[in-house]
Order: sequence, then C-alpha cells, then structure tokens
Amino acid sequence: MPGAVTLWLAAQVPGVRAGAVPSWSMPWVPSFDVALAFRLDGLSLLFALIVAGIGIPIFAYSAAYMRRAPRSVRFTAILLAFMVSMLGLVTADDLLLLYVFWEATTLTSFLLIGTDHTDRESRRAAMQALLVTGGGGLCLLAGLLTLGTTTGIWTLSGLIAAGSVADHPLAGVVFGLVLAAAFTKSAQVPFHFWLPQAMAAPTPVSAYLHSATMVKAGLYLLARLHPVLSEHVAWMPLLTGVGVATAVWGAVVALGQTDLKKLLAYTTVMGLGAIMALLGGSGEGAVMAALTYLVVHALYKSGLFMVAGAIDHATGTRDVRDLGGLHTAMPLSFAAAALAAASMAGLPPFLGFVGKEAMYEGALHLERLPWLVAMLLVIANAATMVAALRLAFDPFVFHGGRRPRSAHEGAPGLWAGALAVGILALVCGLVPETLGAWLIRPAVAAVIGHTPEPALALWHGVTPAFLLSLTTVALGAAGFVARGRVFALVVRWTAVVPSGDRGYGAALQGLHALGRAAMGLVQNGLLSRYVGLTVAFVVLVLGAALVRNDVWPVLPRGLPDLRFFEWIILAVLPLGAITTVVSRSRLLSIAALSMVGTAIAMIYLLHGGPDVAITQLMVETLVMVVIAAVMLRLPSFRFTQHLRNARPRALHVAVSVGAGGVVAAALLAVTATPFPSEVSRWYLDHAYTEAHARNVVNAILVDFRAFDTLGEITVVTLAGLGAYALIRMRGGRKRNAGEGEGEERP
Amino acid sequence: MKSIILRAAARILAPLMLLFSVFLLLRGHSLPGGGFVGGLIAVTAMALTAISHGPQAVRRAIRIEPRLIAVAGLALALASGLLPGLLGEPVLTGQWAEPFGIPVGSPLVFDIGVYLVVIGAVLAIFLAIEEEWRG
Repeated sequence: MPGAVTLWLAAQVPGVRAGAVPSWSMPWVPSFDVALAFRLDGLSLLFALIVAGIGIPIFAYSAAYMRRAPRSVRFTAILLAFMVSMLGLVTADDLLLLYVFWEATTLTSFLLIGTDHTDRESRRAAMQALLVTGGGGLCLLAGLLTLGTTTGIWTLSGLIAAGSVADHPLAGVVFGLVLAAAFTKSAQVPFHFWLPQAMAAPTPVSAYLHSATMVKAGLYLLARLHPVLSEHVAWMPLLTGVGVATAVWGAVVALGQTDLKKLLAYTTVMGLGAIMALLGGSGEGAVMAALTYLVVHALYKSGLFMVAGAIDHATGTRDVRDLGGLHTAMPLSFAAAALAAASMAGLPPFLGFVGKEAMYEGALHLERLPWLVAMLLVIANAATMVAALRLAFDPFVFHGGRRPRSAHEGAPGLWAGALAVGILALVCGLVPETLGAWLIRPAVAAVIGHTPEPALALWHGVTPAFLLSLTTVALGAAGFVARGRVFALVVRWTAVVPSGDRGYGAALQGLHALGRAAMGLVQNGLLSRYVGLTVAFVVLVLGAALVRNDVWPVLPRGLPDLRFFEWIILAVLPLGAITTVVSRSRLLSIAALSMVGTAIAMIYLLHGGPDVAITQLMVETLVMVVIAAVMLRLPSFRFTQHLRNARPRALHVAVSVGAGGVVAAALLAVTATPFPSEVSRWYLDHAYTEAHARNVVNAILVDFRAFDTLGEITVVTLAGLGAYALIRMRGGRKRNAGEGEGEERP
Repeated sequence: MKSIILRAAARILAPLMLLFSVFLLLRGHSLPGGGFVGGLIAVTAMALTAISHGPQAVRRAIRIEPRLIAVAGLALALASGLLPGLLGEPVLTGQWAEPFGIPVGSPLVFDIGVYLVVIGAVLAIFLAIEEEWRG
C-alpha cells in the first residue's frame, strides 16, 4: 500500500510545482462547521512523500524483522493505521481534522511502542510517550480552538490566506499552546526525554515513527502555521533558542551512548532541534534549509535505524562495546550503514553535505545572532559526525576480535531498504537541484508565500557556509579519533546533569501518592462512611438549592381534621423511628422500622392510593426480611462498642437530622404550591380510550411512561446482579470449605 | 429456621401467594395490581419458603437460575417495546388485538417482563444471602 500511495503522490508533483493545489472536502459535522477537508500543497506533498516513500522500505523491513514475532499481523495493521494517520495529518485542511489525526498518531505510536506489552520497559516507555505527547495534543486542541474562535476561520488554507494574526490580543496564548504541542511531539528540550525511552519499541517502529515521520509532525505544524504566527515577537527567539539548545544537547549526550538505538535517538533529537532552529527564521534561506534538512534527516536516519535493527537481529546485541568486525559477515548492511553515515556526517557528494551547507547558509541569514547560532550548529554537527562515523566504523570495521560467532546477513528485507535509502541520499546529493526544484521549492513557497531564489547545489563556491562545513568536518574527524576520551567525558557529565526522564518519574510518583491519599479519605472500606458521605452530599446540595431559590417550608395553619385512627397511625411514625434508634436489641430495631413503613402504607391507603399502598407494604416486608436475614447474623452490639463514643455519633446524628430536615422542608415547600392538575386530568381522560385501562396508575407505568419503567427495571436487574456478585465474592472461601449443609426436605 | 409452625404455614401460604401474585399481575390494568406488586408478592412467597425449607428447596422448585429469570424479563420487556418499531410505529406504542372480543395488548407482555425482573433480581439476592449464611 505505501507503494501505491507513493506513486499517486509522485504523480501529483508536477502539478503542485506548477501551482495547482489538489484538494477534496466533505462536510463531517455541519453543526460545528467541521469538514473532512484535505489539501495537497507543496508542503503537504513533501511530507506526504516522505511518509509514504519511506514507508515502502519500512514495511518490507518490518515484514522481515517481525516474521517470527507473535502478533505480527496486529503490528503491521497498527503500523498501517499510523501511516494513514500521518498522511491525514499532513494533508488535513480543517483545524479540528488536523487535531484528530495528531492524536491518532499519538495513539498508534503508543500502541506500537508497547507492542511487547509483557516487557516492563516497553510499557513504561509507551506510557511516557503517551503522557508527554498526549499532553501536547491537549494544548494543541486548546490552541486550535482559540485560533478558530477568534478568527472565525476553521481551515488552514483560510488562515494562511488571511495572513498573520500576530497583533491579535490572544495570539500569545495560541502561540504558546501550539508551541507546547510542537515541542512535545518533536522532542525538544525539555520534553525530549520520551524519545530515547521510546527506543524500547521494535526497530521498524523506531525507524519509521521516531526518526522520519511522527516526530516531524511538530515541525510540520510550525511550518504550516508559519505565515500565521511567525510575526509574533517571541517566535524567533523561542524557536531558534530552544532548537539550538536541543540540537547541542542531543548531539553531546549522543556521544555518551553505547546502545546503537539510543545513539540514533539522541542524534534525532539533534536533527529535530536544528530544523526547529531554522524554522525560527523567516527568510527564504532559513526555511529552505529547514525543509531540505528534513528530507536529508529522514533518509539517513531511517537507513541507520534499519541497519541497527539488522545488527540486533543478527547478533542479538545493540551495545557498541560488544560489536566489531562485522563487515565481512554483513557486507550489505555495512554498505548501507556507510552510505547513511556519510550523509549524516555531511560529507560530499551526499545529500547530507548539501543539507549542511544549506543549514549554515540559512543560519547565517537569520535576523538575529546569526553567528552564534551558526557556531552552535557547528558544534552540534561535529558531534553528529563523530556519532555517524562511530556508527559506521565501530561495529563493522574496527575491533575485529569482538566479532560474534553467529553474525550473518539477514533476509533481503532487512538490508535492501537501508541500502535503497542510502543510495537515494547519494543520488540526490549528486543532483540536488532536481530535489530542490520539484519538491523543496514548492514546499517553501507554501510556507513563505513565494518561490525562493537560491538553488540547492553541491558547490556554491568558497562561501562562509563552506568554511563552516570545513570546520565541522575537521572537528568531527578530531572527535572521532579521540572518541574514547570524548565518551568518558560525556558519561561523567551526564551523570551529574539533571535528566528529564528522572523528573518525569518523580512527577508520576507524586501523582500516584496524591491519588492514594484522596482515595484513603473517601473510600476507607466502612459502609457507614460511604452512606454518610452520600447522604451528607445530598443534604448539602438540596439545602443549597432551597436556600438559593428562597424556598421556605410553609407550615399549614392549625391542626388538620383527622379521624381518631388516623391520629393513631400518625403517632406510630415518630414512635417507631425513635424506637429504632434507641433500642439495644437488633430485633426490636428492625421491627420498629417495619412498623414505620407499614404506617406509611396505611396513610397511602387512607388517601386513596391502593397501588402505592400495597407496593409499599410488600417492599417493606421484603426489605425487612432481607435486613433481618443479614443483620441478625452479625456479631452482637457488644463488638461495635467503639462506635458508641461521642464524636462519630454526633456526626451521624447531625447528618441524619440534616437529611430529614432538608427533605421535609423541600416537601412542605413543594406541596404548598398548587399542583398543575392538567396532567392528571389528561391521564384520567385518556387512560381508557387509549390504553384500554381503568387503572390509571398502571396505565401510566406500563404504557404512557413505559420507557421510564424500562429504565427502572434495567436498574433493578443490574442491582440484583451486582449484589449477587458481591455476596458470592465475599463468601467464596467459606463456600468451598463446606457445601450442602443447608438442605432440608420440604 | 427449623420451626415446624413456619414450615406448615409456608406449605399452605406459599402456593396461595403465588396464585395471588399472578392474579394481581393479570388484573393490573383495570384494578389495583400490576407487575411490580405481583412480583413482590411472588418473591415474598419464595422468601418464606426459603426461610422455612431452605434455599436449596426453592432452587429445586424453580429450576431456572434467578438471574436468568431477571434478564429474561428484561429481554421480554424490551421485545414488547421494540415490536411496534418493527411494525413501523414509534417504539413502545401499545399494540392491541381483540381475540374473542377481549382486548389483549403488548403492555401486558411488558408487565410480565417487569414481573419476571422483580422476581429474578430480588430472589437472586435473597437466595445468595441465605446460602451464604447457612454455610
């Protein structure tokens, strides 16, 4: 499938170059003005080609790599889903659609990192990636919503056409939120720590997502919103500042790594930082350099990851200290690694060299502090070159004595893709203007609004950029020769410097502790606590509602005119209630409670509600039987003496009195207002004609308001099932001990 | 509870109560009664039997697991509600037929569903409690 997509995209190239913008739209949620709108302009096409084009070798690689792994079909399916999400992300025109695809990539990335969910490291890394990039995603949602509601425009094309919003009062908020999303997704300092941890994922995932595609999504976002936000005063300082810091940090820490994949991860961080720094600029040189380096990085990084995975597959280790002399056993992988590493190191005639030159050229034309940025980039690039040479030579050429026994070249899928990508890097380097004219320039045009002037070439003459490149190569070579000492230095330094990963761990632990404390307060296992909390809450809410609406109970004037047996029944109620509370015998309490219920049923009967009365009576009987069945078998009151001391008792009394008082007040207030009788009249009139019923209550229950009754019986069923499960669960052990004792002959 | 008075009384009362519960169920539409009350009375009869003769006796007599009865009742109520949907009318509209001049309608089926739900749910809880505490 990636092949088909790539071919289709390639066919679009000439048209887009000429200025056409294929687009497609379909309304999705019309009420919110959200449409499934896609748009393929220069920038989208560039990214889409990277995603689909690198997808081809990756899928072949993944098939070979995961061939004997369990659940590989699921893996491939999710990988495919990721590719679709990423393509959607770079071609989406609608703001919310962009967000949906953004989160889809976060989700698929989470699933892919955690492919081996039995491994603790994988789980932790996946969760970390999810939390960090997901948090950024939420910021993105907030930012996009703010942008949409303040400008009224919900499509990207519309926003770009409308021009910069930098003067808008809320522009800073939008900018900050979008920046947060981009920084987390593209692993900028201080959010970079999830990327090296994500190396716990299988290598195809690392090669695809975490080097070539997903981590570039943040950069895509900023490039896409460049015309809209770049005039904000903080754009350049923040992007370039953070970018350069990230680049230097990533490159330096990479020098202290021994795991091949972690080494590549940190150099990816460096690459992303460099691109970010260049996107901070608004000149055509800077943007062109950024996009060129994007392609460069995608090509060499994916190739190197594939080789790293092949090495891991063949020898079982990724530690550079255990590898050596593989060039005889794995010649093709070595060739692929050498090609990619040369591009990464920025050596001519590879595309990497073109990219580096463009980078320096762009840096030197930045509006602010060009020389400082260029210097820092030189350092970062030099470190990258050291890492590249290390990757190419240490496992393959040097240390021949360390060669593992079983090393051999793997299936074609493992090295063919890497080789292809490396050759592409060479070819593009030899004729860079082809790439430039067909892909890069239209993309830059999409960002800055007009086609850029400078051309990509292998040789620009002895410009300041060229001198910087020479400096870089010199530094890199020196660093490589002295790599042992450099390594030791970096290791000592990283042990002292605070690590983002440790900070994350501490934050997560704090959160868990907070949750446990809160739960301990509310759910301590005592039934009285749960009931008390629920009742207290109801009292508060009801009381607040009454007070706020100025509703006061209206006491009726004088005593009602009741017959003597009605007075007796009325007297039973408080008598029963008091007996329930003060009695020392459980049986008496239960009987008194039952008395109260029966008295209420009598009152219903006397006021003309036979259905309600018999239901009340039956419910009362049943509840009492169940209560008796449970409570009479509990330990006697002697053991619950501790509940008799003052303080909890006072609290219980307060809550109970409050509940009774509030409910009584509410009832008195409600009954004081005249009841709308049209409703009951309608039911009385229509019960026979429409429902063939003379019993209006029943007609309402099962016919007119049957839907409510349906809900009620669903609740009853669920309650029954739940209670049954709880009872069974509790007595599991007891039941297994002694069975069949309760049998009696009828 | 091994009281002989209770057992003798239950033997007479329980069947009577069960009959009465069905009676109440069927007459609900015209006179006080209906599915809820019928179900409650039926459950009370079975609870009485469970206390006097033991839960196993009740389970043997009913034969079907009470939870299943409850869910069956729910399904029945739902079916009677969805039937008019299939016939093109809004869901839960009462459907009436008049065999031999006596109107028979889907609300009765709904009510039977309610009846079964009440029996099933309460009986499930009650029998579980009884079986727990008898060891």
